[in-house]
Amino acid sequence: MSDKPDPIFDLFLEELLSEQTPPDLSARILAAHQQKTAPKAQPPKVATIANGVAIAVAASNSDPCDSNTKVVSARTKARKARRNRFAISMSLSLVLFLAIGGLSYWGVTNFVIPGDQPIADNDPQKDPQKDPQKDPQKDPQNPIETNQDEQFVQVNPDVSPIETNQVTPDTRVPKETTQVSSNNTKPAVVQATLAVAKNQPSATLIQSDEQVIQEINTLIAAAWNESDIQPAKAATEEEWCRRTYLRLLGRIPTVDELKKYTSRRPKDKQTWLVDKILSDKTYTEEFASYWGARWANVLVGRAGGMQKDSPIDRESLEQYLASHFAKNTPYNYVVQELLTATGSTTPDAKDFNPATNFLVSMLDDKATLATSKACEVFLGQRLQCIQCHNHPSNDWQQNRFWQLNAFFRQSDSKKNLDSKGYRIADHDFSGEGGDANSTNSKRANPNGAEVYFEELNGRVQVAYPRFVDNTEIPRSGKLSEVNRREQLASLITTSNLLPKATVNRVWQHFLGIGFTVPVDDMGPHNPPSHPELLNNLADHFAASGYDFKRLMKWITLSKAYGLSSQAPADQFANHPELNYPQASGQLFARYYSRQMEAEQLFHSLTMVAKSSNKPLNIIADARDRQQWLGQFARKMGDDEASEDTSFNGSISQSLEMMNGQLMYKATNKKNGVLQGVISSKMNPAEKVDHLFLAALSRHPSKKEKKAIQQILQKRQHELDLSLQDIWWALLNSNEFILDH
Amino acid sequence: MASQPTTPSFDAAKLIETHQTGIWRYLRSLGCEGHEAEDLTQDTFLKVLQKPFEDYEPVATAAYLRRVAHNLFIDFCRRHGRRIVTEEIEQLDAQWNQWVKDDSGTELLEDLAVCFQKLTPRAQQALRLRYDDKKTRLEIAEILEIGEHGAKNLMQRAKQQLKACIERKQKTDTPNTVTPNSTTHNTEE
Repeated sequence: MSDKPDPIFDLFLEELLSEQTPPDLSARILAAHQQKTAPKAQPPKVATIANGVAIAVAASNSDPCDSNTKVVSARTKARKARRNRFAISMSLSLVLFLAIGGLSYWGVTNFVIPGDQPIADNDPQKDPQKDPQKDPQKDPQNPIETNQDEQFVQVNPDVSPIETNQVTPDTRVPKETTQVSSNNTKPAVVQATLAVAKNQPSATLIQSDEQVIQEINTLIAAAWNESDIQPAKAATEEEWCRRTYLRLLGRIPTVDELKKYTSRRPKDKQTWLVDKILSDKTYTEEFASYWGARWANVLVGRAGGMQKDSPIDRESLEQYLASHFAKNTPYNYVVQELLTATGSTTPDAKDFNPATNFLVSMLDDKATLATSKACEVFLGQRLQCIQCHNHPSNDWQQNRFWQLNAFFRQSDSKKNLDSKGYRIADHDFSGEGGDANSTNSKRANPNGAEVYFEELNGRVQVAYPRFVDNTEIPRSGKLSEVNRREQLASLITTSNLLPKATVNRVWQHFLGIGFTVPVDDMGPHNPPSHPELLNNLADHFAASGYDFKRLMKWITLSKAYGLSSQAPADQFANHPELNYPQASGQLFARYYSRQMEAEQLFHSLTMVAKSSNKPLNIIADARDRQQWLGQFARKMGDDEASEDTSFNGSISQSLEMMNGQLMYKATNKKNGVLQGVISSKMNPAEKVDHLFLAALSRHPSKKEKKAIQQILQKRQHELDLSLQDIWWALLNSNEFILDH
Repeated sequence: MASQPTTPSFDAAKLIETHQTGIWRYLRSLGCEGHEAEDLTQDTFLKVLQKPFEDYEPVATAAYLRRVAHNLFIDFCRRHGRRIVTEEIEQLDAQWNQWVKDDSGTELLEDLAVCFQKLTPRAQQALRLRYDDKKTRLEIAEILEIGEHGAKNLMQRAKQQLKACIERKQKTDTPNTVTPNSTTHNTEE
C-alpha cells in the first residue's frame, strides 16, 4: 500500500473532521485592492465610522515607539545639521587659529591636564549660567575644592520637598549651578524625600477635589473661548460609564454595573462611580492589577520581559507596581525605589527586590539606555538624540546626556552565577580614565570619577554628574562618599519635572492626547498646549503627596473628559488625532476616540467569557494576559529599546478578533455572557438588548432592532445560533473596540 | 505595463467570492499553513487584479488563479528558504484536477462526509484521532491498542475506501469534465 502523502485528501479530511471552514477573505482582499489602487495621499491609520467622525487607530498613544517617525525625522535633521555644523566649525577653527593663536594657546594650557585627565573639562563654557573658570578664586584643576565655596543646596529635613517644589518652572528664576554635599550615609535630600514619601499625611494640597476640578474646567474652557470653539455635547451616561470602566479598570462594564450606574439619581453619580472604583475594596485588586501592568508598559515597554532570555521578570515587576497602586503609595516613593533598587530579580533569591526589574536590562556597559529611559519616564524628556550631538531644535547640549549618564555609572547589572536571574549592584566608580580596582591613591583621579564622550568634531569631552537643573553632586565615585543613583533619585523626586511628566502621561491616558505629543518629549522645542493647566495640575499632584488616585479623580470628573466623542458638524478644527503622531491643536473640546489598548481588549473579552458577575472573578490570569499580549509586541532590538506592535489593525489582530482562541471562548455558547443570555427566561428581544448592553453599553437602535428581527424570524428554529452570530458580530464591530 | 485598472467586464468582488475558497484550499494542499494560505490567496487576487483581466469561464479562471497562486507559492518558498519539490506539485495539480472539480471542493467535501459515515467505527475513530485531535501515529496506536504499523494500515485502508467511494459517487453523478484551460486570461501575456 502506498505510504505517500496525500495532501488533498488530508486537507479535506482535516476540514471535515475538525469542522474547520475556509476563511472569508473577500473584505480583506477588496480592501487591500482598493488601497493599492487608491491615491496614495491619504492620512495614515485613520478609520471612519458611520457617524462621520474620523478616528485614529493608533495602538497605544502612550507607547514611546509610536513616535518613531518623529525620531527618524529628527535624526535626519540631525544628520543635516551635523554636516552643516562640521563645515562651519572647520571654517571657524581655521580662521580662529590664524587670527587668535594666542587665545588658542591660552585655551590649551588651561584645558590640558596631565596623566589620565580628560583633554578638556566638561562644559563650563557651555553653561551660560555658571562658569567657574571665570572666577579667579577657583582653581580649574581642582573643581571639588573650588566648588566647596559655591552655594550648597541646604536641605532642611523639617521642610517637605513637596513644599519646596511648589514654584512652577516657568516662574522660577533660572537656577544657578548648585552642589549637593555628600556624607557617609544617605544624602540629606534623599532622607528628606523618603521621609516625606513614606509619610502620606504630609500632603499639603489646600484645594479640595472640587476646586481642582473647577480649575481644570475653567482653564480648558478658556482655551475654547480663545479658539472660538464650541465643545461637543456631554456624553451619554452609558458612554461615560463605559469609558470610565475602560480607563480606570481596563475593561468595559458588566451589564449589572452599567444598570447600577444608570439607575442612580443624577446628582453626583459620576463622583460616586469614580470613588467606588478607586476606593471600594471589590475593585482594589482589579484596579491594581490593571495599573500595575499599565505602568510596567511605561517602564519597560509592552515587550519588556516577554522573551525567555529577557533579564526582566515581568510578573514580579507588575506585582510590585500593583501592590503600590493597591496601597496608593505616593508616586515619588515608588520612583525613588525604582531608581535606587539593588538586589536580585529572582523571587527566590535572598536579596530579591522586584523594583530592580526596571533598570536591570538597561544598565549595560555605559548605561545609556537607563539614562534615556529614566529621563523619558520621570522627567518627560527625550535625550537619546543628544547622546551623539546637540539637540537639533533646542539648546540642550550633548553634555546634558552624559552628565545624567554619570549618575548611573556606579551600578551594573550582571547575571547571577547560581540562578537564572540578574542582580543590580552598586560599586565604586573610578571614572573612565581611572583604575577602578586600584587602591593606589596616585592613580585615582583627584577630580572625581568622570565620564568621557566624543563630540561630532572628534573632540573628547568629560562629564561629571549634574542634574538637568544644573545641580551638581560631589564628583567622587566612591560609594562611601556618595551614592550617585540615590542622589539622582532625590533630585528627580524633588524636581518639578516629575509631577509634570506624570500628569501629562496620566492626562494622555484618560483624554487620548497629552498636553504635549508625545508625552515623553517635553521641552522648549515642544511646548504644552495648556501650560498653565499642566503646571497647576503638576503642583496640585505634588502637593497632594503624589496621590495617583486623586489625580485620576480630578481628570475623570472634569468636563473635558465627560464630553461626547462626536464633534459638532461645523467643528473641523478640533481633530488633533488626525495628524497623529504629530498631533497638535488639542483643545479637548470633545472626547478623542481611540482604539482600546491591547490590555483593555484582553480584559474585556476575558470578562465576557467568564460567567461571574463578581468583579474579583473577572481578573484575568497574568500569564494568560502576557501570553496573549506577547503576540502583538516585539522589541526592535535597537539601542533605544524601541518596540513594534502589530495591535494596530493588522492582519494578526483581525485574525485574533475573528477566530482567535480568546474570541472563541467569548462567543462560546457554554461560556460567560452568551451562556447566561441563552439560558435565561428573557424573550428574544430582551436577549438581544442584553447582548448590546454587554458589548457596547447601549441599547440597539431602531434600525438595528429591525435588522435583527428579520434575522431571528428567518432562523426561528435556531435562536441560540442566531444569538451567537449576533454576539460575534457585536464583539467584532468597530464600536466595540473603540473607546469613545 | 504597471498596474492598470481592471477592465469593467467582470466584478472583482464576485471573482474573489467565487474562487477564494478554492485557492485557499489549493495553497493549503501545497503545504501552506492557514495564515500563509490566507496571505498568498490575497496576493494571488491582488496580482491578478493588477492587470487587465477577462473572466471568460469559471473553470478556466480557477485554473489560471491556481497557476498564479502556484507561482507565488514558489516565490514564497524561495524567500523563506523552503525546499520546493516540483514533481510533487505537478502531481498535486493532476490530483486537484481529478478530485476537486470546479466548485472549489464543495462537492468533494460533501461526498467525503457521506463516505466517511460508511467506514467502520474503528476506522472513523482512527481518522478522527489523526485529523481532529492531531494525534501521532504512535498515540493512535496506543489508544486503539494496536501496533503502530497496524494504525498506519488502518488509516491507509480507510483513506483508500474513501477514495473508492468518492470515485463511485462521482461516476454515478453527472460528470463535469470540462478541462481546465490553463491558457492565460491575462491579455498582456
